[in-house]
Amino acid sequence: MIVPLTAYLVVAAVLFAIGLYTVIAQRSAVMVLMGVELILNAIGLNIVAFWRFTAPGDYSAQIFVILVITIGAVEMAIGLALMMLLFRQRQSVEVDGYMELKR
Amino acid sequence: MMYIGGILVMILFMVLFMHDPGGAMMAGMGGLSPPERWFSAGLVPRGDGAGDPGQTEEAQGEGDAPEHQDEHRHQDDDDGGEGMMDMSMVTPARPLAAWLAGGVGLALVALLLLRPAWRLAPSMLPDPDSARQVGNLLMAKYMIGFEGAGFLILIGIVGAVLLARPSSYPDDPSREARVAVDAMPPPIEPEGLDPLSPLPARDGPAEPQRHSGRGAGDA
Amino acid sequence: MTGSGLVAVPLLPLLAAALALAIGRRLPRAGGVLLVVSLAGSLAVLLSLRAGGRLSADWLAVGRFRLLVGLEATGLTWFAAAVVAATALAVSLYAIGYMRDEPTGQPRFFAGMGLFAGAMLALVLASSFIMLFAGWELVGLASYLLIGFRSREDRAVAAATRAFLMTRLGDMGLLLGWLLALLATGTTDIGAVLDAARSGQWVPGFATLLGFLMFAGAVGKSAQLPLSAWLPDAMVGPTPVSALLHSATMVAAGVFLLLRLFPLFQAAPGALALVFWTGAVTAVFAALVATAEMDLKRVLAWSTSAQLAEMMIAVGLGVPYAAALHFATHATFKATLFTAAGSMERQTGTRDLGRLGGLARAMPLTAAVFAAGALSLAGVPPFAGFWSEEAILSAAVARGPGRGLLMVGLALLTGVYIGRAGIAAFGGRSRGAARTGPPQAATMRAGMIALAVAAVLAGWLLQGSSLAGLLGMREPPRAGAGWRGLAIAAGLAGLSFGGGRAWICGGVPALGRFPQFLATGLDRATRAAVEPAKRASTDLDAIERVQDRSARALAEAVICVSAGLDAIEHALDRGARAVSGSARVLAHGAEWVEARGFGQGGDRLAAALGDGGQRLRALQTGKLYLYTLGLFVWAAGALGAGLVLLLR
Repeated sequence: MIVPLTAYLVVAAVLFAIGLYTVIAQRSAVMVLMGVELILNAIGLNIVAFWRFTAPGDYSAQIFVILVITIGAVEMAIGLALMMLLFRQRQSVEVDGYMELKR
Repeated sequence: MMYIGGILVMILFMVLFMHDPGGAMMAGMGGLSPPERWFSAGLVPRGDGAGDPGQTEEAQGEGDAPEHQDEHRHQDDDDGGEGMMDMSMVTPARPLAAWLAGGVGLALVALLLLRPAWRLAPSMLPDPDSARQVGNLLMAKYMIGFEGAGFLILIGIVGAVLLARPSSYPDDPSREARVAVDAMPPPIEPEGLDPLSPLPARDGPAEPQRHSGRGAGDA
Repeated sequence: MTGSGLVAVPLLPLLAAALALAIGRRLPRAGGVLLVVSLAGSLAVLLSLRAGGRLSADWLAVGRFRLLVGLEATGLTWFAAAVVAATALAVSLYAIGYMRDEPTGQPRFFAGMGLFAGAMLALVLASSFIMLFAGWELVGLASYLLIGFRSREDRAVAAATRAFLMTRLGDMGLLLGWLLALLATGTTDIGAVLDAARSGQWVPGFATLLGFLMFAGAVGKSAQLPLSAWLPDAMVGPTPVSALLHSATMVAAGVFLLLRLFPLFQAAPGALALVFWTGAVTAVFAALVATAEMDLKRVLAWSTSAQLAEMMIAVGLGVPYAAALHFATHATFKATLFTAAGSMERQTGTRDLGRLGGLARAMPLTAAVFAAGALSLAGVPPFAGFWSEEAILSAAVARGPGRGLLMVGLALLTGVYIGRAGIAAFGGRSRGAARTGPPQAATMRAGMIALAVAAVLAGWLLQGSSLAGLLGMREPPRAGAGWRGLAIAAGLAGLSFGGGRAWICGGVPALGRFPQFLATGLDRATRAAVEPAKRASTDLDAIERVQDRSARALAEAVICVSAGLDAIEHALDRGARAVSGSARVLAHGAEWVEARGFGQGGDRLAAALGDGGQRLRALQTGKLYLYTLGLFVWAAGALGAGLVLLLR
């Protein structure tokens, strides 16, 4: 069967919402990073869905998605590295523990 | 399809690593916003929030069942202990976040109602030539972007390694954040302002002496 | 294109010199190794280029004058440059060992040596008078620096100054000469000037005048008679300096100049005659003085003067081929003699012929090297000096028996002084001086042996028509066997006489004391020439005193004026005080306003701002999720507002 475009878009919207919720509501920095990744992937899903249904002959969309994933991966690597650094310094990955800027 | 499968795996990982899947522990406590309560009602936390992913799961086919099993098992493990940890896994802004996320999601879905008439391409058959096309595009039209992404990865990897490398001085005291002084500056006293103290040596011929007198008065 | 490599030839030693000066302390052997390598590089480049390259560029053109700079490898310049580079290479190798124990200034020394060799190579290869003159002056400067190397000794400073000033006296002639040539031809290209001389387009006296002027430069540099007193004094420098200075770089420049400009001299028979007679007188004089000197190095120095004079004789006889050949062989054997003398001085701490003696057993290598150089100098076949001196003899005989006899006499004198010096130093009984110094360094030995081998073989290898072809000069017809035998016999007789006398009587002067009076006479004459200059300077002093007095009067007038100005300024000062008093009253008022109004008001404003800041601070929670929340709420709000605006 053929899944309609609307279904993809709804999934993407829900992914975005979940990512948004995760970013704000989760205390663990790892989870915040995952939320960011979810948001990125929601966007990627949107792009691919639009490509598939409106312009399947133009493969630029795939390239954009590749780039989005690439950037997501890099961001994840840097984020996790920062996390490790922070954890090593203060034995916690909870984002509201990092309050040095407020003094 | 592959991509959607990837996202599912992502969700699975999220569920695996999260200590509080769907806020089940929070269900009995106050301070839950209505959408949260709604989310937390079912045992399978994400399933109901997205009836739409259900469709994708149908498209995925055989991948469903084991994932759900995994979710259940881990949820049980997590429920076993560590209550205080679960308590602290969410921020105080969680109700707001839930409202905001629900609102944004609903708004996005609602936007579909306004959607213009996209001209849908009729052919849905997968193109066997797509890999080559993508390759051509990568190497021709989007080469700069592609190279940029590659460079970004390189920098990212190097940066990550540099950051995460165990340094010889993990806790340099000199790098502690310095606390700014909270005290107010001392108020300006009218007595303190006396830049025009009387000039010494009114008849003195030497200019430098006058200057030194001024300097001493200021100090 | 063949010429572009030529730049490397003088540049490599100069570069080594600059490096030695800049970072010499950190280089191996204070830059000595670098110098040797650079000289070897120069020699290699030179040998790989062969003759014929040319590299020239306009430096500037003013009116009808074109000033060129450039390098050129004609047969003559290529040959001379090869001689210079090879000799300098061997001498610097020797210098590494010689300077090994010098406590300070090694980088300075090697920098000086590099400058010396590089400047000489530039001089030799120059294709324009400017370049030649620059090299000429640089050579003079380098010799000044090196002779005065031990700058804490008064004698060294005095000798360096003397050498510099006396050669400058000759340089003035050269400078005037090439400026005159520039005026006449409008170019500084040596080839063009020589062509003009060859074509005979000048008025008859002009070439002669040019020749005189150029020859004055050569006289100064090559220590010919009026200006020869500086050369023996220059012996206070370290021995490698003497070796280089006497063999290839400094004094040879004068002879080289004559060879380079030989077509000009050909066009000026008067100048040629002057060259010949100057050479003849200097040769006899210097050789006589050399028989009486008690200092080994000074003997060698006078000998250099005499040998250069023989080259002058050859040039003056119109046979530059003989002079060029002698230029090369003299470079080898004189450097050999000096390195041997230096080695001996380093071992025994003295070079006084009255105290040396019987050292051959203690220092066999040094003695052998010295013997090779001495035999070569005395013209004993088949050593190098024989071939070139025979060429000069042939040239002299061709011009008449009188001149031939002069050459034979010179050979005799040469044999006498060098035989005496050699035997007095190395033969006979020991007279006090003994070997006390440290053992010789390997590099010293290598340099000495290389030079000695050259001193034995160079003449036989070089002489002949191939060299004449390379130089573009014709070989003189060989003298008859009688003349040649006579000259050899004279040399051997001189050697045996001088040697025998030294063997028996020690280091006393070979021909009595009268040559010493010649030397002191020359010294006195030089000093006498200085006297008028001194008197002139006292006159100048008097004039200056008058000027001084008038300047004082002027200054007093100025002081009077300034006193008047001072009074005026006092009046102005009083006015200014009044102004400042009123300004102070005003300022007191302003102070009250500022303190009461602005000061306290600003204080209150600051307090209010501080309170507001404290309140605003609460907004900055430092909590990441609140920031994120704020971001998304704002974005959602903005999108919503946009949507509303869009739909309205």
